[in-house]
Amino acid sequence: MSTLYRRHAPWLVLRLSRRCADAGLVDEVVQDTFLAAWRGASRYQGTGEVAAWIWGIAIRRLIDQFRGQRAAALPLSDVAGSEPSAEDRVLLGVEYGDLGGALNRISPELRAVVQATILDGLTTREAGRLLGIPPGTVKTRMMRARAALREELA
Amino acid sequence: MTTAWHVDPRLARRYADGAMDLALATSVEAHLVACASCRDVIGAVVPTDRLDSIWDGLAAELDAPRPGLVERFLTRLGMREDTARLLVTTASLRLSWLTSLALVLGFAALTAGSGDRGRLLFLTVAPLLPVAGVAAAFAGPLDPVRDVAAAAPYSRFRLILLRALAVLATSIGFAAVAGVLVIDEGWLAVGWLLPALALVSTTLALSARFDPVHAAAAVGLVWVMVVWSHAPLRQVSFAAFAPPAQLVYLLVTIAAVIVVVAARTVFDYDRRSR
Amino acid sequence: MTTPTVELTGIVKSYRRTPALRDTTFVAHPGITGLLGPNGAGKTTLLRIAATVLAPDQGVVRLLGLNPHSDEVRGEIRRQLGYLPQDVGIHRFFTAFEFVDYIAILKEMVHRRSRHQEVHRVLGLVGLDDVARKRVYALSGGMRRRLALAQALLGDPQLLVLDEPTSGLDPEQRLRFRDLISRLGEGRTVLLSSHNSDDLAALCGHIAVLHSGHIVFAGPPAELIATAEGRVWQSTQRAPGALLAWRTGDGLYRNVGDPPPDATFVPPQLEDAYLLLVRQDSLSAVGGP
Repeated sequence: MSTLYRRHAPWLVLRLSRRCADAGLVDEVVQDTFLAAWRGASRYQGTGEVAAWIWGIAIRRLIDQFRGQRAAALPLSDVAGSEPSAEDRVLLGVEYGDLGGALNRISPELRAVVQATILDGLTTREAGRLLGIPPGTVKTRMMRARAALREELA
Repeated sequence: MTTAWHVDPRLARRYADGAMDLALATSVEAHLVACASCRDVIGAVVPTDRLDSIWDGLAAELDAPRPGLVERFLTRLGMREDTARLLVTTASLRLSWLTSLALVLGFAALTAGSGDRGRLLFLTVAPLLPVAGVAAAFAGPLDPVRDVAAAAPYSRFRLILLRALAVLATSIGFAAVAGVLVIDEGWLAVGWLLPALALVSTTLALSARFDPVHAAAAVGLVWVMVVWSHAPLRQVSFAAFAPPAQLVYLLVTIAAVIVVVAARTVFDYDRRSR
Repeated sequence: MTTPTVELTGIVKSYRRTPALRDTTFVAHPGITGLLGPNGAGKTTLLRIAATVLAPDQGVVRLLGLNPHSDEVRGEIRRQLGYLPQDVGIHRFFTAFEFVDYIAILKEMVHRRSRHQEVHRVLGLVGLDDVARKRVYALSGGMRRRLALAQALLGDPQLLVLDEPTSGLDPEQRLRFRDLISRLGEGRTVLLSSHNSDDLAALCGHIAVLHSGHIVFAGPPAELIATAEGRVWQSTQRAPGALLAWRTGDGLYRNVGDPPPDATFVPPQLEDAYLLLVRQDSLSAVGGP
């Protein structure tokens, strides 16, 4: 368990912190994730990355925290609109091609929805809970995001 | 997918500080899923005391008890987690007690099938069970931490009340089901309810002054005498469950509850001279 | 002069007309105070009164400056108190962690995560973190005693009342306890009773001797030991005038009592002083010499 923790806790803390500003909450979710990973280890199929499996547990735990009265903690505002450096351009190109740049140019609220549904793979309902908006709004923003991205990439 | 680049410490720093746009951050995140050495690079950037404190909490949670079915059910109903935990650890609510309760009631229900005498037996036994349950919740061998609990700030009165209500609720639940199955005449099927309330509240009232087990035993004995004095050996009589009697039980309950509430601080500090 | 943490004045307590404490006055300041006395209702009764488990028949109790008689402040006292009774029965089906967690709830630690961390902390203090998930019936007697001590440490209380904390422990465990208790004594008030006078002599800055329901001595251990100076001697034969004598491992007799004129004195121990004190007391009570 301690090896698992040492290897995966740091990146998990950072990745969750980009989706939730409440550090205490992030800490709790990390704890719960490793607990669940420890207990559900037998259920892990062994295919695919351990990290991906851990992330799946973690993001769902995070969303569970937003059920009920708890107000959705806003994700940290990402530094948007700043021109990527030459080095960054290379990196972006490697992972996502032009999409990366296009993502940076659409509005922050649309970007948040894209991150939640496409990049984090959440359902409309889960995305809604995370961002604190109704599922219907998630859907409309997704449509707008797709349109905006298509425009950027054209 | 293999990538030609990796996360260097400077990039890791930017990512950790949040000084990175979404697209790039997403690239980093996607990369980290696949690359163990870059995960280690990221590891160096997160403050160790934060990781240590999360680990402490994790170690504690690993050893902590996991809420059982009943506990989760109670929490879902809106009860506070710690209150639910206290209830679940009550001796008389544990599975063993519940099983024996069910068995006893089952037995009583069976005998009740054998005519009026059987019904009377059932009605006599049903109110005694919550009394026994309340006593069991506080009897010596079943509440071995009594002294430690007495020195704790949690109001003992509140604890006793909580447990008594829980025991009462479960007993009533069982008895209600058994009673309906057993006794055909409408009101008589719940004729044991007011006696049960009267007995339990009287036991609690007496516990302010005497040992709960002794109080329960005394109350139980008086009850049995009351019922069978109305039903001498030759005839079976349900007089002890008739409306005038029920009224008496109601009044006894009210009086006992008043006493219990008035004497509540007595439970919290033992002033008895034995 | 600082306010004493524990101040019991004129305490009277009887059980079925047998007096356990008669007009007992007892004071404890921060540091470790030991209570020495024969088996019987006295010591435990005193400690139970100090732990707010029991109210005296007569007398005034002041704990941490407050009177537990008052309903409002009793909770406040108990929040600062940790109590280890002589016999702690623990539900057998609990795990070690569950038991301490249960007491932690009774100590009003409502929030689950921080409570679990506190339980984890005290289990670590007594060296039981490895067996936290073991059921109580699987633990040895020594481990159960440590478990019982762990619950007393919850919440880092200002006043610790420990009734025979080292009973049933083997020598190594007893020394570990000594280490732990001495550390706890720094900045806190620890009341402890023990049959082991070595422990008391080693740990306590202050000792009280309870005999026949009265405190017959209160002061530093060295002072108590000094009262036995010149009354403990060695001889080759069992001395006829001794209160108590026994043959030591090296063949000589150790005698306690009134020495003959040419006695070879040996340095007295705490138990010698205790013995002289209580025998003296019972002798004078009976009207003896």
